Amino acid sequence: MKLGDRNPLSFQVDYSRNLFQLAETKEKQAETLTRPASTFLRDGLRRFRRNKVAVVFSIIMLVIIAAIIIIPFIYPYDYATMLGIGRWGTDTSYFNLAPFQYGETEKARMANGEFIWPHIFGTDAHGRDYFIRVICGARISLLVGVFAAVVVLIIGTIYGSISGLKGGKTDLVMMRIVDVIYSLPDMVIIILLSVILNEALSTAQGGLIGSLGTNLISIFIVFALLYWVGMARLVRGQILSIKQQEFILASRSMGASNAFIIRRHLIPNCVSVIVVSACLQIPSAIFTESYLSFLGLGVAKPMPSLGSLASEGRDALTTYPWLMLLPAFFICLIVLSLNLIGDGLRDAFDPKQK
Amino acid sequence: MNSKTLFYIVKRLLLALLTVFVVVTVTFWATQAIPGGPFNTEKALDESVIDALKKQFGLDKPLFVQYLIYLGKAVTWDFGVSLKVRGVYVLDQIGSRLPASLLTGLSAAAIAIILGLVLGSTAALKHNKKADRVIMILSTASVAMPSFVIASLLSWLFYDVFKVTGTGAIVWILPIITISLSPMCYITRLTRSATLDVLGADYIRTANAKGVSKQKVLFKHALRNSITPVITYAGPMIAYIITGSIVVEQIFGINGLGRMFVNSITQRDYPTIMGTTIFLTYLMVIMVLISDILYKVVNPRVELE
Repeated sequence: MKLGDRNPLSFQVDYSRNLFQLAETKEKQAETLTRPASTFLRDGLRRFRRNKVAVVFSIIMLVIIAAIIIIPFIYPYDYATMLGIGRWGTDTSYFNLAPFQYGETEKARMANGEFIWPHIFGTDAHGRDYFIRVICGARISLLVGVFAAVVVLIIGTIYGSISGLKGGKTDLVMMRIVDVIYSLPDMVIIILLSVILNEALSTAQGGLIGSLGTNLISIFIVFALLYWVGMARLVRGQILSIKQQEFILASRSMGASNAFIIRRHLIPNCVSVIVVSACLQIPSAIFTESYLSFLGLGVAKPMPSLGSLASEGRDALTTYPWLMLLPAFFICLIVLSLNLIGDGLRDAFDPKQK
Repeated sequence: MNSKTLFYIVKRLLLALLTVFVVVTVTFWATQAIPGGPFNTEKALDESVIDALKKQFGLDKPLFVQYLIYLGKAVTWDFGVSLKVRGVYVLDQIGSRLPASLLTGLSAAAIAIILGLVLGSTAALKHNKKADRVIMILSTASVAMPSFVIASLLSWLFYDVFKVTGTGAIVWILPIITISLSPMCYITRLTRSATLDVLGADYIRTANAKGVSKQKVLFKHALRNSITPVITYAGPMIAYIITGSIVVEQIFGINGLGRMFVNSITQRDYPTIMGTTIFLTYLMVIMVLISDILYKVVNPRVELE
């Protein structure tokens, strides 16, 4: 039987006719990607940039970070130097100077035509330049916050992902531990532990502990012990919910290994949640540090933190209000910025959670 | 109450007991880590005197036995005698300080919950309008201030600028405002986002479509659902307010538990420190338990694990 010579009612395609044509180049390229695929990161950043408030506060935060890194190197005063005290004795005119005021000897030198760098924020009760103290205080406060966030990030992520990935009995036991730590009265435990750690560490003088001060070390230890549980819960929840989704099943059925699934699917899907939560952890640590400073358990003197400056300034609120208001303003600014940046990041990278 | 609910409650109770056990263990062994004993004084005591004292306080026994004894005492709330306030039981001390903390804490919690719910649902109803913006800006800004700053500024405003004088109820106003501010803002934000979620749901549209009044939709249909996250937050919050208003009590001179805790810490009065810690843990654990059970009552859809 010849092709084309067939039953007209047949459903078979008649290949003898000229059914097919060569495709033109234009048609061939219709499916190719002309632009590079927008990545998750780029998508998120685009959404973040559209959030005016978050962008403004990110810029403020960047300025603050640049300032606390650079200024201590170029500023003519030191945070611990008491300007009114020297070989000649004590010059009380340097104590509690208002912003842009000068001490007696400085005035005399200025009369001689010498240039004296102004005390932008005045001086404190011991005659130390307050601007550099606030800057160094912000440095310490942010350092505490960032360190706490990093510790929480590492411990919480590892703990949460082991718990979420293993599942079963391991998960059960690990989560009960988290539950217990979660329902501790944290402020009380923090105070208790920092007092005890202070006493225990105070015997170890010198070295790293001596230079940082026992209080700071105990603050770090306390954060490492107590603050990671929130992050661990979050990561575990995220992993559990992703593990059950169809695309993981699809990937597995196509022969993906566990390592591949973790690397390609689980980590990218958790990163945004982890980063946002770590970002929001910084202000909470700054707060805790400031409370501990208020109770006299903060960083070692004469090292300042914003919290200790504000609580020291509190005593002189009626006479020298700027001593409290300036550090308090910077705490608020930093905490507010970080909160808003964190919220912005969450909205940008995790639209479902909004 | 079915067996599942009962099982859940029993499980939560066991967890609560475990938490208390952990705290007792941590406080006991942590205080052991402190160098120096309780009888270290500037004047060297005679060996026989120290031995007699140790015997009297049961410190001559091995550490582990001491720990077990302490565990037993923690269960029966026998926290011993204060080291610094002569002849006063720690529990009596707690009892005399608790009312002040409860008064400020509970009224602050009530204010925070009521105002938070009102402000939050207002913001949700006026979504993206001026009222919403103002509420959101204020609640975001006031969370950014440490409470001792707020307390100092408020007392400065009150007593130095407006020259408010007087005793009685007025003394309590400032601490209550200070304590309630930050949980109130948090509840406002919680309520707002929950209400916004709920208001978008189908059954609300149905209720609106069949002509149910706006108030009724809000109170009868929306609020009951948007209140659930607030409940989970409120239990620990109340405990946290009572235990965590240490700073505010210190500033306003309220003779509460928090101030007692700080004083005992500055005086290194270990029985009081340990007793207060354990008591506050009990308080926290009970509040968390209540809020977990309440959560289930208000929201029957919640699956108990």
